[in-house]
Amino acid sequence: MNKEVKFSRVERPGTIVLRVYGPLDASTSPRFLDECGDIQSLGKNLVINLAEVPFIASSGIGAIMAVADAYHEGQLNSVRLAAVSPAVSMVVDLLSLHEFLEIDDNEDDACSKLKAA
Amino acid sequence: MNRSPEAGPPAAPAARQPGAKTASSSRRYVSLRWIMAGATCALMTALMMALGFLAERNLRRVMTAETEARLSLQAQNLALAGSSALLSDFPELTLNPMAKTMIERQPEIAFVTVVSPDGRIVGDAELQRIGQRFVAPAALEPEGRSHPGSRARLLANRTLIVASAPVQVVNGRSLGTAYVGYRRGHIDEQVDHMRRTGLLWLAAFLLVGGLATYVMMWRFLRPIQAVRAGIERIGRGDFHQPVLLDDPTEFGMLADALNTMSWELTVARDNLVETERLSHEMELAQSIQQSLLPSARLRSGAFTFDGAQRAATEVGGDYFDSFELPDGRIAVAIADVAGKGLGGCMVTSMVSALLKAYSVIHSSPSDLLGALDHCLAGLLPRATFVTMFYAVVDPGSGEMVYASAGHNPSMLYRRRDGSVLRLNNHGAPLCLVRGDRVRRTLSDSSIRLEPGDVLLQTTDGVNEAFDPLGAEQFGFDRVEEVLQRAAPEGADAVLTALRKALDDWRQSEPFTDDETVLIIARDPAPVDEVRSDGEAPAALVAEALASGHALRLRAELDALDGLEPWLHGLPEVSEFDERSFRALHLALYELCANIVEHGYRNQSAEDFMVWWIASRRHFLIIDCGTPFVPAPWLPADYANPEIRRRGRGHGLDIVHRLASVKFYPATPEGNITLLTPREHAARTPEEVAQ
Repeated sequence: MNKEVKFSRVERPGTIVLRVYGPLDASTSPRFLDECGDIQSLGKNLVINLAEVPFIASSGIGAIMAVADAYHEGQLNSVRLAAVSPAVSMVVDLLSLHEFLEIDDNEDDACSKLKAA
Repeated sequence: MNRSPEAGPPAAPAARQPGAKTASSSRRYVSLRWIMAGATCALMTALMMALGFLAERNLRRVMTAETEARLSLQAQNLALAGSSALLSDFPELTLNPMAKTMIERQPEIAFVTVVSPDGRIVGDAELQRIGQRFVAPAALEPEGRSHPGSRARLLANRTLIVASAPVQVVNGRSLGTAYVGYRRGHIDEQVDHMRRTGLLWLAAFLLVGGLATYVMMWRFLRPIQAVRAGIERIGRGDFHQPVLLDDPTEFGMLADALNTMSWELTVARDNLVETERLSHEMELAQSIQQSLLPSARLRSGAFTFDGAQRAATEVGGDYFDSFELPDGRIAVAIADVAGKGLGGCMVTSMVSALLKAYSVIHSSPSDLLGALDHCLAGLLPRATFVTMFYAVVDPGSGEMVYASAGHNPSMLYRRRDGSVLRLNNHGAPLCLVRGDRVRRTLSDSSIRLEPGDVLLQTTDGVNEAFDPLGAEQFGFDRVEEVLQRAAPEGADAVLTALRKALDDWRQSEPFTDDETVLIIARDPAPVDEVRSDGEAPAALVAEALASGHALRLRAELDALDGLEPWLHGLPEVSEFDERSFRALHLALYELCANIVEHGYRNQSAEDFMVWWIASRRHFLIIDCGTPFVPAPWLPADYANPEIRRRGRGHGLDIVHRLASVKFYPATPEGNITLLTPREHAARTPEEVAQ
């Protein structure tokens, strides 16, 4: 059985919002990394909307941390998470990743903070 | 480190004693001058003897013929004179003076006699013989040769040649016979005389010829002395004084060849001296390099610090060391100096000495490397730099603080999930740039070495080893593969496997750079710790088969989607609140994903089983993949960026945070894993409080 994960992009001034629909696990994480890498190469900030992620495995959370570190090393742009689902929130809490991941309640807040920065 | 005793220099050849005769000096020589003079004399003698023999033979024949002709003529003249004399009354008055005159003029004539028909002497040089009967010499034989137109007759014996001619009047009446006798000895005397004369000439020629030959040979062979002196100088090792000989003959050519040979010997001797000097320097450098390395592995607590170095033909500047600091921590270092030979070794010696001194001053590895950079910058020539990795390990906590100055990345094998991390560095090599700018690139990093972990550090001689075609380097990926394969067996296995892999890669090609390896290995936790609950695996399986809810899963990641609906179908689990259910699902998913990825390596043809035993509120998983023995769990420190970036190992960390896990690897039933969810594990503190 192949799991489905879909992505959509919303253009904001200086920022692209990536909406994720589906689980993030070992099968789908590579596609997620490709999407984020593509956006980073455009030289824009990134907001990842994780509201429609029903399940996230260690590979998925590893992929998110890798994206955050890539943006952090690049220093030109930033990445924020928005509207994380309960499944994602549980893992972030479990691993105490709040210190390393910028998380907002919704896309607008995330975009505003990026614009202000 | 035990070193094999060095072979001493080869024994020098025994010095030649003054005055000792060599094989050549004991031989006797004959001068070419004497040989050539003697040969010339012998040749001239033989030639002149042959010519003299031929001349003598011809002379004897000619003189005999001449004598015979003259005798015949004289006999005829005597007969003609006798014919008129015999008609007179006193023939002796005519014939006697005539005979006397002939004998006086020709002493070689033995007798001149005219004989009457009755055999009485009527004319002779001696008057008393007149009237006596003529007795012819004995044993006269006719001489074979005759002279045309002559009436004379020749007779001869061993001592005389006798010519006779008839004395006749006009009417042919015989009046007697005229005889002229000639002594053969006269001819022999003439020939002997000529021979003696010839021998005198021969002696004169030999004397002159021999002297001339000797003088000429002396003149021609005079350059031999110069050539000989030159050869003897070369034999004594004096190659700088040439053979000065301006000679147009082959000796001049030989002298030129000697001078050329002498020059080439000078060059060869200089090259040999240089080669021996370099060889000595190389031995010295290798000796120094070996003396800087630890003589044995270091053990501290559960840690083993080991290393190995294989020196290339050309000595490099590789270095590694491990030693205990005053506070009980262990310092480890590995370095590669850009520069080879004795110079590289000298720099390595400085690095070693400075490292030992600074290690008790600077607790921070980056500070120590910065101090090294500052000190070395004032000592090393430009374009000489050092790559170096330095770390301090606390054997009690397993914490390793490290910094790297442009050295190869460290590779860390994680026992708990079998992964290999590369600890990259961003520091610049020491002394690459001056003015303490290197210091600003250095920083400390830390990582915890867990039970069973193995950290590998190498110099570039390892990853840059070329294949036999010289087309491809060994590379970091192959180093990582070897580490991942051999690390579960410990430090020795890694050293052995890496050496074998490099030998196989390089085959018979010699290595051109030192291969240096440093290993830090922490002992794995005993397996007994994993099975400490005292429950027999067979009983667990029997209980699961009797009362568990089973799920068969294919060993592929997509098949794990079946976990969630199966969990929803379990009565006890379906009563969990949403967050607890998610936690349970996540823990079970991560554990099964670990089995699929590492136990079966994603081979979907295999199946494994999951049971839920409600009475014990745990899951039991049986698989037949590769047994998996994780290290004791310690929460991952996500403050460490290396931990965040590695992308592996998070799964088991999540599992351990959510549940209690026990592993029973390689039982008769298979690999058994027990997963017991922790109560409230996934709840926030606020939820727990409520």
